[in-house]
Amino acid sequence: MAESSGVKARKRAIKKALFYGVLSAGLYTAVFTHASLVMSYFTKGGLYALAPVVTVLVFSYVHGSLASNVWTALGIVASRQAEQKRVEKPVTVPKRVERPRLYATPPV
Amino acid sequence: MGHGGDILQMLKFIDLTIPGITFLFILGFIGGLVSGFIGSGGAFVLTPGMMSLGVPGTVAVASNMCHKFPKALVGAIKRYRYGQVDVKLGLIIGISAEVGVQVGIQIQKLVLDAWGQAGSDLYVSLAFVLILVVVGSFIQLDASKLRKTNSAEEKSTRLARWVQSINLWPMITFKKSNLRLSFWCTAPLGFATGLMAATIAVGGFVGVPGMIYILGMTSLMASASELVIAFVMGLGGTLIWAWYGMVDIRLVLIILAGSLFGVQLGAIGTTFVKGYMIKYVMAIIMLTVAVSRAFAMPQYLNQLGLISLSPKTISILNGISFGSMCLILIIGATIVIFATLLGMKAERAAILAEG
Repeated sequence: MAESSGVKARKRAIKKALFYGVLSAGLYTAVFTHASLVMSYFTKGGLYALAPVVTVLVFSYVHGSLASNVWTALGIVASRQAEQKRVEKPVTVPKRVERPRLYATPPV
Repeated sequence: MGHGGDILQMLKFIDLTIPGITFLFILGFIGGLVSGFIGSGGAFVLTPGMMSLGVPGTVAVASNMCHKFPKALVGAIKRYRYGQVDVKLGLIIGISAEVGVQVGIQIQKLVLDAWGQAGSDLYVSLAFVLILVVVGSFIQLDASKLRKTNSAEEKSTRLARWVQSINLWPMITFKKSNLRLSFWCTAPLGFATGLMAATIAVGGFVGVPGMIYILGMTSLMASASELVIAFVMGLGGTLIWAWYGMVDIRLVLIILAGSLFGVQLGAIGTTFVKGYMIKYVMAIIMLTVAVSRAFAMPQYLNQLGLISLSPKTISILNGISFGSMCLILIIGATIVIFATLLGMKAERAAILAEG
């Protein structure tokens, strides 16, 4: 059962890796075929500073998704114990102990 | 002409070659792998690596910074999914670190004005060697003790217990780390991390041990939360460098292509190892980087006229320094990959045994 869900996950990852792979290759091709133009704007400074920041965020999403799916497709995934911990309730700081209160009429 | 116009006229953005691209991709992958595992690392070899291709120093520093924050973001998201990241603590220390970075830059400027470039380089190398030897040795001893007991549980140090007992307003609760700490305990650590980032470019060599031994976090939680700090510091630094037009986006994207694969593999690796393994890798890298920087120091002493060395000797020492840094990263990456593979193998064997 676990084995078949693992195979399904890998098949899904292969499809996603192909999708993000094509997208990533497209982005890299777009930048490197227009490298001079890109560099002339990205090194202007001032408000153009946002251009490299936005670019690396877009690339990290697309290329990061590709990398994640490639590892999954290769069967390199996190330990199951870590996966289980993920769904467990996070450890919390112990609740504060209620201070003793003085009641006019003691609670029942 | 933009803000960086005059400076840019003096700078030369290099022409990329296939061997150069391959070198940066591999360096990015290995650096990312180590970062994903111990929370930092890679920067100390990427900047000189880029410079060895002819990239001017400032462009190398700026481009390294610009690749660091998205890599840290991807690593942090991955490790957050494994329940290892304390976002709140990372953000608070990260913001305090920004202050440390600014102070660190001012100190660097003072040193540069007083003793020139060679004096500044000597100061950086001395800071590298002293801090890394002291902190690295301490981590190494601790990791050895934990390894002997083969314990997965890491006990808080006496210092950490004392820090946790300080009840000074404002107190902050960190649910993920199960800690309640005074802001006045977390802020100085962030400040020191930023100061180191501005001085030796790798704030995590102070930040991660600080979170473990001073605040009392586990190695897993500390190394993962360091990625949040690196993101905050990297984003702030990138905006400043990019404002002056210093970022070479081509270099950033090539390094990122490798490091995004590496950082995720490193993050996966942390789920298979015990805490002491992270400490081991960190200690080995820190101690060997210290040795590598020690080889670079005679050059600066020579420039300051304190010793006399032939250009050939300096060239050999520089070669040893850069070569040993690359070697450290390869050793670190090999340990991470082996530890991950062994962990995966053991888990599969356990699953098979359970039937």
